[in-house]
Amino acid sequence: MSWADIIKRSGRSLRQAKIRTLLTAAALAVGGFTLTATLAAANGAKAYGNKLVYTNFDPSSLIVAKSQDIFTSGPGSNKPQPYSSSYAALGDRGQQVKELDQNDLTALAKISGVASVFEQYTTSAQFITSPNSGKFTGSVEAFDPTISHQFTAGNLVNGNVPSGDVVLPQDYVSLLNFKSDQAAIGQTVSVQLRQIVGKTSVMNFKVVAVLAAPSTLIGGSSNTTLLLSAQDAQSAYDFVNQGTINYNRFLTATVRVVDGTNQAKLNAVQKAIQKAGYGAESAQNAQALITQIVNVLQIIILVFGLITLVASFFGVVNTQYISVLERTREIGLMKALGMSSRSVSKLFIVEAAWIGAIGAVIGSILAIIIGTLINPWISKKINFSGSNLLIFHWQQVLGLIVFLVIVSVVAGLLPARKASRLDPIEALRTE
Amino acid sequence: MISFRNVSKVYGKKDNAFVALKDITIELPEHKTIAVVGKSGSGKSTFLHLLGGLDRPSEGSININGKELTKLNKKAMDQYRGQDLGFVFQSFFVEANQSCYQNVALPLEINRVPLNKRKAIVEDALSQVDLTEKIRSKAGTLSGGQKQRLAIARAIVTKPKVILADEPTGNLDSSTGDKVINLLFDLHKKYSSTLVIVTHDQDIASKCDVRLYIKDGQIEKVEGLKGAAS
Ligand SMILES: Nc1ncnc2c1ncn2[C@@H]1O[C@H](COP(=O)(O)OP(=O)(O)OP(=O)(O)O)[C@@H](O)[C@H]1O
Ligand SMILES: [Mg+2]
Repeated sequence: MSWADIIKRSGRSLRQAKIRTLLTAAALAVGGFTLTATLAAANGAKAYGNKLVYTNFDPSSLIVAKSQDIFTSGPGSNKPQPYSSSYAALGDRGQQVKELDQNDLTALAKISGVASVFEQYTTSAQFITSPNSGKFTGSVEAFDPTISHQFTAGNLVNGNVPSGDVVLPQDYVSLLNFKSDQAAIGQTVSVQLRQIVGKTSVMNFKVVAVLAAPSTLIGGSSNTTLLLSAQDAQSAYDFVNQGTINYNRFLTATVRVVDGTNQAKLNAVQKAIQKAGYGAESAQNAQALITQIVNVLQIIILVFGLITLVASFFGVVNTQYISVLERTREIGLMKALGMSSRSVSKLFIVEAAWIGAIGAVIGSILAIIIGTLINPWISKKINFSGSNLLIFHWQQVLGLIVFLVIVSVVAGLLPARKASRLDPIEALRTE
Repeated sequence: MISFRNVSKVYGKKDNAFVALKDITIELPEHKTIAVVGKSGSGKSTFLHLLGGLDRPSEGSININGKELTKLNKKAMDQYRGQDLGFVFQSFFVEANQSCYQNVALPLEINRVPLNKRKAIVEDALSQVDLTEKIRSKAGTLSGGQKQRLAIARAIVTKPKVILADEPTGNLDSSTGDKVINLLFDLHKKYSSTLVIVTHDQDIASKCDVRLYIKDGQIEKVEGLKGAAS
């Protein structure tokens, strides 16, 4: 019997047992649905993680700290540690954390493969205002040309912020009473700085571009951070911090790596920095952490999906056994008429494959439809701002369907074997 | 020529062994009608199953038109059943959920007849048994006589050399049974095939060229062989 006839014949048999076929397929569909949704959620989470990392992190640079545990366990320790002059208090609770000082920065710059060391001078402003608006909190920081920025208005001529200009986060546009993002360009923004001793100073800047609200959770702070030229950021920093113990000490610094887009070179420099006793983290490490969390979650849900598959596996075995028993006479007849055992076996295997395909297609299509419909809602609910939680890759969906078909084929093997071994005389004797 | 040489069939083993056919040797002519007659349990069906390649003898050899059945492997045996034989059973064994067309097309599918040729062949077979009208009907909706005619159409659709019928009228009333028998005889004449009918019915047997009487697994007597051979 030809494959075409076998496929048609098994399709007809299934149509004759519609309800049973659909119920068995439904069990597989649940598995298919779970697996499709899980894979899509993992895709979304990974894509989101990547976005998160790369909008905050230049992939060809390393973030360096005094010690590696800042990246792994977070700053501070809840156990007494031997004193070192690198310690500085962090936050209100007085956690102690080691900071980088100028000597460290000089040492880092000397490590081979390091192009430059870039300290992030983030300075809290007393307030931010414009000639005809109220006063608002905020901070200033040097514009980092190595991170991808998205502007809603204006642009940077040389890819950097000129001295005296500012890149204004979008949230400030309406607060500072500018009519639109476009209208804000060229307007003046004033930043008042205050020293610990109470002395203040006002710096005025011209808005050169408006920064799109970041699509990231980590980037939450940059909603309130005005980006200045390195020189202006340094002046602001100097005014506020000069003379204090924190002056020129940094929690982290950015190390630009020569030819840092080359992963091997980036890794080599990272190793060298760590060997010199510092902590160093690449975009990939940060990404790997997120990916790892996502993977663990994904495996957990996949296991549940696979458990439903195990149940549907036995469902298929059961259904096919019943099918073989019900059709004992039909099988006997076909064999009596010269159908080979192989063809009989194929008939039942293809039947199982049909069930698998029907279940998988129903499950994954439902997952895609429901996923696409609720995507905007989820994104809003969990503040995914513009990103989709569920991202469906057709290759994955196709792979999954094939996988489910294989699972049901395997489930159909035993019943098919039973069918192929039926003795036609015995089979035709059953009334 | 159909020849059985010292054919025995034993079911079961050792203490449970049952000799259904015992040392049967006979030569039967081709293109004739042959009745296999005997009491219930005498071994008629066993004889037919061996002839039809559904089972193999415990001893001896069976040769059909030079084809040594006992030497055929599984695949060749399937082919022999699919191409050389047509089966008609007492309980019809039509597939009730499928249309008459699909029932008759089954042997064509098994023999890998191309799809585009099937329709004409099936229509011809159905017209031979006067079921042209029912081509799209489900076999389950047919009457008993119609079902058996459908089974006959399925048996002749491959134009086999030999038709094996095991009590084809056993489940039919006598007038319907007569029609089925007449149909089998007409088709036998038309295709000059060999028709082997297992039956209890002396009337049917008397219509056949050759009558083979079986008793307790052995040939009791044979009638019409000389006349047929001449
Ligand atoms: N698979 C089997 N195992 C054991 N004994 C069997 C088997 N098949 C048939 N027999 C026995 O072989 C003998 C002959 O059986 P067979 O079916 O050939 O009889 P029959 O002449 O066709 O009878 P009937 O007219 O009732 O159909 C019977 O006694 C039967 O019980
Ligand atoms: Mg019998």
